[in-house]
Amino acid sequence: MALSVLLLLGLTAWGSSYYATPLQERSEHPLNLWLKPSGVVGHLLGIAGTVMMLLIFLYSLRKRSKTLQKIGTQAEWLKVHIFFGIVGPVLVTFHTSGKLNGIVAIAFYSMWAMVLSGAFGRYLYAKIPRTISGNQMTLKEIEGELGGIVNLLRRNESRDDILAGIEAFLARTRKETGGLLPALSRVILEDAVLPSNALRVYRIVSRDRSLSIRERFRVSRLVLRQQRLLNKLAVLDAMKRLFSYWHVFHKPFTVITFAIVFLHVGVVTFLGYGLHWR
Amino acid sequence: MKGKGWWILIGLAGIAANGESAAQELDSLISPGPLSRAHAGLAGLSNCTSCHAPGKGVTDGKCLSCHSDLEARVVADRGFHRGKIHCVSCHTDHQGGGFELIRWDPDDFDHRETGYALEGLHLRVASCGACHRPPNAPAREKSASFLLDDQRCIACHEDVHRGGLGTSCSDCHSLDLPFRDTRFDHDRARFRLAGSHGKVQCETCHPNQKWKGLRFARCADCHQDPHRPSLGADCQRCHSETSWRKTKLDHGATRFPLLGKHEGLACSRCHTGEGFRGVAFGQCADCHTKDPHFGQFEDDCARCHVVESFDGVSFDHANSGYPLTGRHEAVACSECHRTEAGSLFPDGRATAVRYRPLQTACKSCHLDVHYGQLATNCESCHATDGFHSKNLRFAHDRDSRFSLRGRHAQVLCADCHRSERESFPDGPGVAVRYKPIRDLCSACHENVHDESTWKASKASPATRCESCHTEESFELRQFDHARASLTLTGAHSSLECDRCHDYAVLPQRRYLLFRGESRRDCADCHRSPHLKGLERCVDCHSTTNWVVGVWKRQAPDQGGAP
Repeated sequence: MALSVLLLLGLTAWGSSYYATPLQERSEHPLNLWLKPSGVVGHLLGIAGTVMMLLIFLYSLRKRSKTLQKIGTQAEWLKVHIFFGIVGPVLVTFHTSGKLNGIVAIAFYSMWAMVLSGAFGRYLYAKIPRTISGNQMTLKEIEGELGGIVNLLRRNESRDDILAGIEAFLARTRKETGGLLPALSRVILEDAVLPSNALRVYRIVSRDRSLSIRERFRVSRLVLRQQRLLNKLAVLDAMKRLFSYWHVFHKPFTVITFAIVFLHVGVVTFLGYGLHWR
Repeated sequence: MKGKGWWILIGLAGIAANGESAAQELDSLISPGPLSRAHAGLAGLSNCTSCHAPGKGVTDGKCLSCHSDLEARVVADRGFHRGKIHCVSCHTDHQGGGFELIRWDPDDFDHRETGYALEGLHLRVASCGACHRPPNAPAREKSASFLLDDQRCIACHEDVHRGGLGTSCSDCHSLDLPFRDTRFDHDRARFRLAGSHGKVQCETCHPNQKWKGLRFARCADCHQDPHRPSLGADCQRCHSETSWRKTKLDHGATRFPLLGKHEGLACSRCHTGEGFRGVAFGQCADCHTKDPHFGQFEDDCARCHVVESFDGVSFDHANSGYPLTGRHEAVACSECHRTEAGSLFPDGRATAVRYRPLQTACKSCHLDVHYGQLATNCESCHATDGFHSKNLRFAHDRDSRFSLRGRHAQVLCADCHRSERESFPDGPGVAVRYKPIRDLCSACHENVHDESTWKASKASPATRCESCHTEESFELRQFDHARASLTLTGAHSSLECDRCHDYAVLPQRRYLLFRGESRRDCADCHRSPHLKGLERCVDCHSTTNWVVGVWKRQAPDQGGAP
């Protein structure tokens, strides 16, 4: 991942003057032979990006293949899926060098729509509580985690005060909502107010002066996690429904993108640009 | 998913079914961008392979199959595109209709890349179009071409020689010089340019741009013979190629060798006619026809003049009737031989320097400063060495009535002969008086004595100056006191005059009174200390000793003071 970022940053630094040059002036640029779509580097970027994007399908394949499901966890496969789903389009973007014409342009925009929808899906996916193996967590498992917090607090005079504060904080967020869009709005809003919530919890925990800062952070983190789990539980059904709908608009972008990419590859291969650069 | 896939296929099929416009739409979808204007005619799916070779991309062969004029040059390794590979590396397309396939800046173009470097005056050519113009470049339908088929000079420059001198212009012309300034080496021609021929403009010998076929064996092929009658065709017998004027003729071998000033003269000064022969030369006057002396001399000019110069005459005045001596030798000729205007000369009335006849008398040249006081024969006193007194021949003792003796011999002339404004024999004027002049002392000397005394009596031996004075001195060396009836004896003889004679004092002078008052008695000068009865001094005293040492009585007639 870090290597990819370094390579992309290096590519950006190297080709910045070329990419900043207007399209009609680029033929005069000294890097044109390297970075144009059919150039040495540009063409390789296109091939590499396409190959990476093809590797995205391994994730879908795993979901359907029992043999592959034996290898690694679903979360690991998803990480690989996301990595190729980001780096591949970025490489393809460098490949286009901003020259977008005809149907390939549709593929380009569709590709990024696919990436953005994937990112949105990943966001929704994070809102559905799962175990370490990637399966959805049950309500019971979540509640079991809730009880652990009390054990962390010392038994002194401020303990009741803190517990009352935490209780009040958790009770405020434990409201049930209905509908998909309100649920999505709540999820997004909760993420937005996360920093202020964190501050509020830290202040509640800080009522016990005998706690070290490290202990305060640890308790605060647990309380926040519990609050977020409660929130996830509150919107769990809505998120599940939303996630099932998400596939409906993530996949068409994929189909459109690859249909045109295959057409593009076919045409350029026919015209002699397959595995050569001109 | 399946439904969407079908929709796409249906859309594509609809596009395909929509005829030509649909094909264009499809082309615009497949094409990476619109073609440039030059290639706009190749737009369309069916034309892709016009430029793109299946599986090979855009090959140079595809480009050159249309751009055949370039192909010939690339194959021949000529022109700007020689050695260049892969057309599309410079000429990329699908960049839009406004994209310039050929991108170059004429002002920043290095013409050496074309294989034809611009040098010399070609660098000053202002615009490309001066050379890259339709007649020189291959014909094109749509655009001007910069491809020149012919690199020879004649492709751009008009051959003013009409092919007569071949096509190798650089043999004579340089890129660094205008066409007029050729650098042709005439030594390569059969007629080498020597002497003044090297300075002649080409057109002088090559009129009407005729560079070949000229006759040059004889001088007369180009030059006209100015001699009448002709001296023959062999001009080089007298003339050289350096100059017509500087002939090779040795005039010394003729009967009239050129000497002195004659050497530098142009031939035409003597050879005035068309011919060089038959010119008279026996007398100077044969050429020097104008006699500046108007017939004053009948002799040949060479008697006085030399060939080096008319000014440097060889005339010796000693051989003339008037030899020059003394100061006359240094006098410029023109001081005596003056230019006379309108005088009568042997050849008539003219303005010329008078040489003869000329008077030899002094006064013919010199003015008489004496106004006729002296004789006309100046030579009796003056010599040609100089007019001044030290050069005078005049001897006062010999030539005048008044001999200079004593102090007179030392006196300057001007002390006696003074400048006067008077009437002289030749008229009134200012001149030194020589004649007549009185020979009396009073003519020059002032009488310091009582004038009344002197003027009263006629000059007599006793009253003339000489009676007391000499020419040696005014001192009274010559005066005998006995002549004054009083002989000075004893102590009287050594007395100064003024012990006895008083001074008369006048406003401007004083003088001793010698006459008039007579002091003859002792008491006139001496005062007696004695009582009455001793009035006769001489009874006791003598002139030799006033002290009565020896008293004796002497008779008055025995000398001594009375």
